[in-house]
Amino acid sequence: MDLKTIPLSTKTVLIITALIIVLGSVQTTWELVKVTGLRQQHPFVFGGDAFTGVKDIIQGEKYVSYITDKNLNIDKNIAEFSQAQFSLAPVILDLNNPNHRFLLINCESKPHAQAVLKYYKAQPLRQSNLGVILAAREDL
Amino acid sequence: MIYLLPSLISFGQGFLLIRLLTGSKDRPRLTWCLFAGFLLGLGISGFLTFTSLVLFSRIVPAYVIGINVAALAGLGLAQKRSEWTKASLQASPRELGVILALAALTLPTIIQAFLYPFGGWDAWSCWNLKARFLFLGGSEWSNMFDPAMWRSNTAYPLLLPLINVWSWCFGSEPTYLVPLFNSCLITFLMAGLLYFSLEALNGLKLLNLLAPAFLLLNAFVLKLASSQYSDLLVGTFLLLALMGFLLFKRTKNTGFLQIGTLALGFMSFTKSEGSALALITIIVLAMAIALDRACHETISHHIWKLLLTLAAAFLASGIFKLQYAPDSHTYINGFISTEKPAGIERLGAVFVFLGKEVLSWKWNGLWLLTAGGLILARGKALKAGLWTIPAILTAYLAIIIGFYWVNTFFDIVWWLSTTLNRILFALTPAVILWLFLALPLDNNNTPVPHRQPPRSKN
Repeated sequence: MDLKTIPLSTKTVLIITALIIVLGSVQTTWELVKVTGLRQQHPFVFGGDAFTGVKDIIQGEKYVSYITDKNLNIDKNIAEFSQAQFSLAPVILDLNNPNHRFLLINCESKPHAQAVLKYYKAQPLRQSNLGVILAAREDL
Repeated sequence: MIYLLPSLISFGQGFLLIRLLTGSKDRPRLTWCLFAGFLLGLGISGFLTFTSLVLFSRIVPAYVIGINVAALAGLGLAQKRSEWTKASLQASPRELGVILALAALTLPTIIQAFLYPFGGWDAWSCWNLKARFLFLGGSEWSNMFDPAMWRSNTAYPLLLPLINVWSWCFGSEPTYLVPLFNSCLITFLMAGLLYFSLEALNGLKLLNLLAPAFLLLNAFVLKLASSQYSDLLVGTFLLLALMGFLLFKRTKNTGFLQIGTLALGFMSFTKSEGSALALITIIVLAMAIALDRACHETISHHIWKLLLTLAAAFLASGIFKLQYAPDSHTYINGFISTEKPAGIERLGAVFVFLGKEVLSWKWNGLWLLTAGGLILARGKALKAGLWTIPAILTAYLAIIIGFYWVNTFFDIVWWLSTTLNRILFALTPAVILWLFLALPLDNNNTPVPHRQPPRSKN
């Protein structure tokens, strides 16, 4: 293909495309450098990893109740639930349905979690560093 | 490293199938076959992995590996030795340079993927979650369809999770590296398929690198590409399907139509939106063939072969829909619901949002440039079978807009803000293909799909 024979309209589109690519490259590089810098200060942590410590106990269960008093309209909180579900699959986390033998309690505060344990007469089995409690209901 | 092996097997399957279907007469250059074959192979492997669920009601890694290796061997044995000439297996130094350039263009996506190794929201809450149920759930894998799992889009088909599971079968753990690697691989395949498709149909050569560069050097696009969602796969299969049609139109080799049909079948097994898009594409392309006498006559001699391919291509999505897929838990028909009616203001909101989305700078002017380029191309954007691309895209967008309007389960602003960009993203490879094919290359106004590019000599 001889570039000289390419019509002006096509040349115009190709030149604009090339300019946008240059701008896009600068923008992409800037964003990647920015996030890479952030990662050096705060390494990536997957939220679901905080829940994997209970896998051995709940293995073989179909459902585990995920009890939380956190506002699930806030992205961070629903993401925490989704990532817990991801890490504990194929166990199904039943959100705020307490009618299962095991309860995974992830509350805003320790007193709230204690109140949940007391209300459902559940026995705590394991607690993570972040305050997530796995408990077993005695009545089910 | 063991996880590279399934990719190589998939590549072998697709590459051999393309050689088998196209024959030696009108086969495109090796480089196109490499990229198209790899993509097709991923679909084949996902499909074969699905048969494990159908036959054993669970993923049996030994069976999955066995059936994939057997398919590779079968396709190898079916090859005609006389067709394995040196010329058919050669790529020029320029083409090798282009492949390196495409790898360099994929580098930002790879960096982005490692910065977010578990992908975007829907990767862990939908696609990779389904893959974990398949791989770890044993015979209870179908618990993923439980109503309590409604947040994970239970009715969505399984091709992308199955492609990841296929790789996991070579190890004992569902490592996060496999979906990460596959998202980067599919991005690379999309870029390569786009470039070598354009090269097969126009004479721009290296200038065609602008097309994948335009996509992959956009911060927003590479975020979506590395997110481990299925939209990238939908978009790449659509690209392959369109290329199958355009190459058939040029060569009258029905093998290309078979490749396109398989791509559509795999696309329908990737996402519910992919099923709708596949159906629309089949209808539009069937119309285009019916309107073209030469194409029509060619088809009539191979109708059974094509119908058989169609049935095979849609087998997996058909079985999934009839046998496994639950009813959607996130659907309310706003036309009959009194609690959540679909008012005209909802439809207005969809159009306003769509307008804002295409004008958003995050796309780096992709939609505006495309519109401008197509206007400059004048009538050529609709000639030589290219009219099928806007026909497909328009019909698809009409259905998507209609669905946003009718289904009132979600708050419309939230729903549009989280999903519309991905639907548009899936269309970008086809749109760029259209733009670059519509641009006139000389003052004779010859539509590019009618040009005769150099082919490999066999």
